[in-house]
Amino acid sequence: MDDGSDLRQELEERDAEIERLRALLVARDVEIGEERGRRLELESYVLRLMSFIRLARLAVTRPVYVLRKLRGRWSGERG
Amino acid sequence: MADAPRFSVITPVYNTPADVFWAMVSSMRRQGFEDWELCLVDDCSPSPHVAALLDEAEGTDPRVRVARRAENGGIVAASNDAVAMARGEFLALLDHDDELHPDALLLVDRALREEPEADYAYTDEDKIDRAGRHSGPFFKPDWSPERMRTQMYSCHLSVFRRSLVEEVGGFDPEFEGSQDWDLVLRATERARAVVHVPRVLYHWRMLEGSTSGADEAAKPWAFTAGTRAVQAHLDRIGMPARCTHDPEDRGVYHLDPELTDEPLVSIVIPTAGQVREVRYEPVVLISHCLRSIVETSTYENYELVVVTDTPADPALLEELREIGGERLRLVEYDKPFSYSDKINTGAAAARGEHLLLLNDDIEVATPNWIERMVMYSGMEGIGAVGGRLLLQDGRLQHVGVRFQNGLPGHPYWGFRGDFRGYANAARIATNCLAVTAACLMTRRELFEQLNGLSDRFPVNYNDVDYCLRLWRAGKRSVYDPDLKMIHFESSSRSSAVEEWEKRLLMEIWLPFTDPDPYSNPQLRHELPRPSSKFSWMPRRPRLLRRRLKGQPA
Repeated sequence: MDDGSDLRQELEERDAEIERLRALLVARDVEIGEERGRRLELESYVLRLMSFIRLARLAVTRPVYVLRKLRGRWSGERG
Repeated sequence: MADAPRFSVITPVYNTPADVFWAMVSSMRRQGFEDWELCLVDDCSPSPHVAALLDEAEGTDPRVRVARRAENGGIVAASNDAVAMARGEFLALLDHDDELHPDALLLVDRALREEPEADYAYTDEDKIDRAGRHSGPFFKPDWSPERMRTQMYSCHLSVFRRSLVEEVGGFDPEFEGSQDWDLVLRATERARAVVHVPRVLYHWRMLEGSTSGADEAAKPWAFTAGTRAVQAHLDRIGMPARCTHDPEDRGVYHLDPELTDEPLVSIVIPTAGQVREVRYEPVVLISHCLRSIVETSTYENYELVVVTDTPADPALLEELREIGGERLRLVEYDKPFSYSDKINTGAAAARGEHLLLLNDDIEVATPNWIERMVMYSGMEGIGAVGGRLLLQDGRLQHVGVRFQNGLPGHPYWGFRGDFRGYANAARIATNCLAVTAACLMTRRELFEQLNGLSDRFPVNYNDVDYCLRLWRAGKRSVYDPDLKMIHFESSSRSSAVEEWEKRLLMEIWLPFTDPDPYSNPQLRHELPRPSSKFSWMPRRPRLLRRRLKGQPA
């Protein structure tokens, strides 16, 4: 009987430990998620900046096209 | 000027510094459109220089008209006096320290002529400092009634048909501080049409003590007045909700449901009985989903319609019966896989007034989620309601669907869970062309009228297509930021959408989705393009603008 209850207690302790470690992992996932989210936000900012740089470069070779595009966008043209 | 002008610009004046006053008056005199009058009402300014400023302004241009109040009455009283002296067909609101873009009245006039039924118009805006430097542009969506209830987004420049303002009784002193918001809400309840001019045509001056400045505590009463104005509006339109303002950001407001009755809601969940690892533990998704609904929801009157593939595992069915109890109805589906057909089969077996389409990889995180959805779904103009879906690691998955070049996407996908979005777009209730069917409520009556989800889109885009059909039928889709759910979607995004699905969607819906009316030309994936920083610049040189004088009245 004693052996049985010891075993049960050991199993319960192990289960509790597994639960604790799982909760830690989940919490760590959320922390990592926050960092990944921040990274994506930065990436999106960089991508927008790069597209602007591309547009600025294009302004040198095809100024009329760029002017028309920007004028259209700034005048509220959709699409 | 004997004839009534097209625009009366309403400007209450109080202790205005001379430099910003002249900047305001000059911005009016620079207008390319000439048929206006500027109605200045001095609210008994104690500073002696104001009287001289007004005299001088009146003398420099016959279109500038001045009235003086005998006693200080506050901005509402002064604004109402200005409305009373106005003769124009439309009233434009301009604060005494702000400026209009030279093309402002010209472009608003053009928009109003294109939509003759328009009773209210608004434009994009930015901020300007005392030295005239521009910053913080606000690129707005087209008319979004649900957004208007949680954020005073139309703000400047606002232009009302004068007859409508008179009909609703002008500005209400009860909402001093948020009198503009109250007026917009009352006017748009009756307006035949609302137009948006997607151009920065108003420059809001950042001065100490102004709500445009960084210190939002400068006018705390404005935010409580805002709450009261929205509440009064909700009561008028019969929306069962209570308005509160956000303790973290007082420009953001929230609606909480106050339902008077609980109609039956049918939660339709298609499932294949899949097992997936959730928080490092393998779970049967449908069991997990049902358990979270039963254990978390505070709404009483709902049924669970689970559509299972046949043959289903008897042990699973038994487990579902145990979790769902009397609420559960099992519907068998024995045809080849079609998400649309599976949902339609479930909906046909449902008895509820509202259908709540739910994926089985969803976990409920908001106890009053059903109440929130019913609060919106019960409103006449609303067709579909969706919520804020988060990935397992807390990042954003869905905050409403937006279209870019005619194709739908999830703005801010993968961004931090507390990411506010552009102009708080992820934190306020707002309209969008579509919401995801991973969690979507719609009235059954509408679902049946539209013959449910289309079998032309058996796997992807059936939700988008359904919401667009609602849109075409005059029903809006709403995103509710306070309805949070966990979506155990794969956190590494893989596009399973086929080319033919994209082509078909564009073939049917491109004229409606490009441009997306709930976005703005200056935004890409709902974030400002870097080039938008220059969007306030005048489009034409001054000489050319002069040629536009003499517009038809």
